[in-house]
Amino acid sequence: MTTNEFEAAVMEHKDRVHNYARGILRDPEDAKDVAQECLIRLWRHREQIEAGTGCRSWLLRSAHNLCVDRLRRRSSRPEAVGDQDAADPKDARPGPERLTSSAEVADRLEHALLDLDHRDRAIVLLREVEGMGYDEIAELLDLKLGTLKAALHRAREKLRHALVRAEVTP
Amino acid sequence: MTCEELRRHIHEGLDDGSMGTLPELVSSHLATCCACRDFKDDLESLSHALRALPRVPLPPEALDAVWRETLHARPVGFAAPAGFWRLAAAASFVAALSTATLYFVFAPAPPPGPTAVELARASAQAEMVFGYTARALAATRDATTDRVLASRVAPAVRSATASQPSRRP
Repeated sequence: MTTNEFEAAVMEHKDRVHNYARGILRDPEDAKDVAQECLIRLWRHREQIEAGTGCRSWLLRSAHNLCVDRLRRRSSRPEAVGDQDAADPKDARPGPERLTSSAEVADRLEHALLDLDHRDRAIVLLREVEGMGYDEIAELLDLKLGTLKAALHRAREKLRHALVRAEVTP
Repeated sequence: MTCEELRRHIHEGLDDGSMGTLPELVSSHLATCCACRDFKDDLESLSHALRALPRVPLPPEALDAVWRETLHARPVGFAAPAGFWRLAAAASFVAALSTATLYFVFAPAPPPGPTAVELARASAQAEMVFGYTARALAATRDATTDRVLASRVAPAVRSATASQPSRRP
């Protein structure tokens, strides 16, 4: 990857990596750090990476690994959990009235995503938000195709239940 | 078709983007089952809502930090350019190969063999030794022959001669 290709890759994928990290970590500061670290790592490994699709997969894999490391560190120091956004969705429920605006739906959906374990969250984000192919996700997360699809189906149903419980129609 | 089977079809339709062309069995089940219709609508809406989640751009200060650490990084001490170490390894290999070649071409010759004079002297000595040996063998052979003649043949000849009558008148 040349310097120009690196610059183009950063501009193309920076928000994708940042959003993926936000989706997994739910902490803006951590997500920013992870995205920054991924892009710097891309520069350090640019000799081994091809520009294009390979670059996207590499960045998302790198972001995923960094996010998992951070989640592990968080779980080893429970007092340091930084999920400011991760308040219990039931506490933030505005009332019995039905939520209809897209911003409210998005907010509830983001909270519902938090109830998934990080692997299922990663699968949903990579498939439904990033639109990646199953083979690519299976390789990235080191899963068999059948396991991946079963986990995605389970995650969809969990999200649906969570939204129905929260009286939200997606 | 059971509700469970139908829900599997709905998931597969979402997986491969074939929700618009669901099999006839699925469509007829959906027409009669309110719960499955809700399930399908919910999952489709969920899929749309996930795709529509707001994208938060990477903050500018983070992007600045990336440029500072990468493209605009100041070299600290010796900063090896891209491919430097590969080139250095190739150069080391070529240098080692050249040194080995020069050594084999210009290395001191092995110690020389015997000169012609030494060879002639050695040959003469060998001939002399062979001569002594041949003469010693010949002398031994002659002595053995004489002894045999003296001890066995001569007495036999003498006795034969003595036993013959004289033919002289």
